Amino acid sequence: MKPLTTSYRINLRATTHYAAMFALAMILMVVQLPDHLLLYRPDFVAIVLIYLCWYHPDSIGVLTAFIAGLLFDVLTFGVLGQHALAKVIVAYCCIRFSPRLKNAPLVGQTVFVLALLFVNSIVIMLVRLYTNEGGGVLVLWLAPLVGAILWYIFSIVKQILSSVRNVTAN
Amino acid sequence: MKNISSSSTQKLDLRMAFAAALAMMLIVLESNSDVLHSVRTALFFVVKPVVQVAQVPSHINNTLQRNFADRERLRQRISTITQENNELRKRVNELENQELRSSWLAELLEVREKIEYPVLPANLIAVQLLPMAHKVVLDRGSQQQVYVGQPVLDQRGLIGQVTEVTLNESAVTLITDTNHSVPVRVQRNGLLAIAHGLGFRDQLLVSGLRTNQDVEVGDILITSGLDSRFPSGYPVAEITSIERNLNASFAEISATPLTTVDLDYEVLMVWNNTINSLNTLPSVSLNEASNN
Repeated sequence: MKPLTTSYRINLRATTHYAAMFALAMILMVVQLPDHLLLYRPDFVAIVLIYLCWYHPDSIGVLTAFIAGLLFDVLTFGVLGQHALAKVIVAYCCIRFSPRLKNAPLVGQTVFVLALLFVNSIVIMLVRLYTNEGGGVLVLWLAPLVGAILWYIFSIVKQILSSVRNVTAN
Repeated sequence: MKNISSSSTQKLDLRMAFAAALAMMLIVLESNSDVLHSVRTALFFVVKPVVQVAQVPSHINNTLQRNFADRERLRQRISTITQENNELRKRVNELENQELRSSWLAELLEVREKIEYPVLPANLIAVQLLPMAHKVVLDRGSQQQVYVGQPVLDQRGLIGQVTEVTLNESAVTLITDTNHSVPVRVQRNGLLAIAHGLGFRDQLLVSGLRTNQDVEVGDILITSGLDSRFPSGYPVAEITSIERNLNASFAEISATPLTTVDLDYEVLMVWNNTINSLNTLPSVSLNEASNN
């Protein structure tokens, strides 16, 4: 058994790094856009969360997801807990199932991310139904699609970068 | 190896159950009471930098537009404003006459003088438009006795109402938010209706008017005051289209709000709540109110 100090040690540099990523995602979420682009804005907080749960599942967990979601609720003056619940579920699914997709083709991974983003929107939608807030169904479809496309582009760029790094290393 | 992984997934399941339960508890608490108000106020300090940084691009855009507005456009604007000013001055003269006459009548009828609501100017510090939630943030909060449900307007018409208050900021839900409705009246003939937000900044849905009722494109909708939340008589929207389907009993009417808010914009917060305004009036407005 490992001593407690090592497993609970907080890596300050990594923490600030992650916090900065979430902050940037939140800024992107509330920055003013032309009205017709609003529907296409993907949930950047969820995307950052999926990225971190995918590549750093040891340091990012459902509690981080909860905190990020709660802060996002405060930021947007929405019902407290709606994004927290959605992000917790997304983080859980991602940590639980992403290891099986490590060797899957890129398209498969993107479909998985799309499914996660859908789950995210559906949970938020259900909460809005519960609290009697209105909402369109369009948001449910468009934003996750844009998010999945962004993820696909990001993954390709990441692959190219890593291959370039390998070539230069060799 | 297998043991370790299964125990870690168990831990994950537990944490997930805990966090999800906590989130659901928050949602239920939020929708039934306002005990989480202080939590929100405290957490807002954490995210305030994000709010401020997120406004930088719009600030830059606004300054650029302001500084590079060309001469012709400025001249045009001045001429329209002058024209408007002349018209308004004429209206004011007429109204002053009217007021004199109505005060005579009021004296005759022993009607109480019209209540003037205390107002407080506030600045818009952030605009947050999500597809479903249209909100703006003002720089006045519970320290200035702002309360939830307080109407917010500007010189052109109704903007929305306060839905969240923190110490020094308050969030206003715009009338275009999908979750917002205002009881209105057609200014021309007093017909009652309700204007619902649709999540589009330039569109409201007007319901409650029958197909055979007298409404026209261009009619102005004003607040009816029937909700006892918004003071009556403030302009809200202008009707832009009416569809009368003979099979339906109600007409499908859409309207455009008379105001569009932007950053660095000054708005007015109105104290319409009598209970609140009795003991918590802002000092400036209190003097004005007592003078009246």
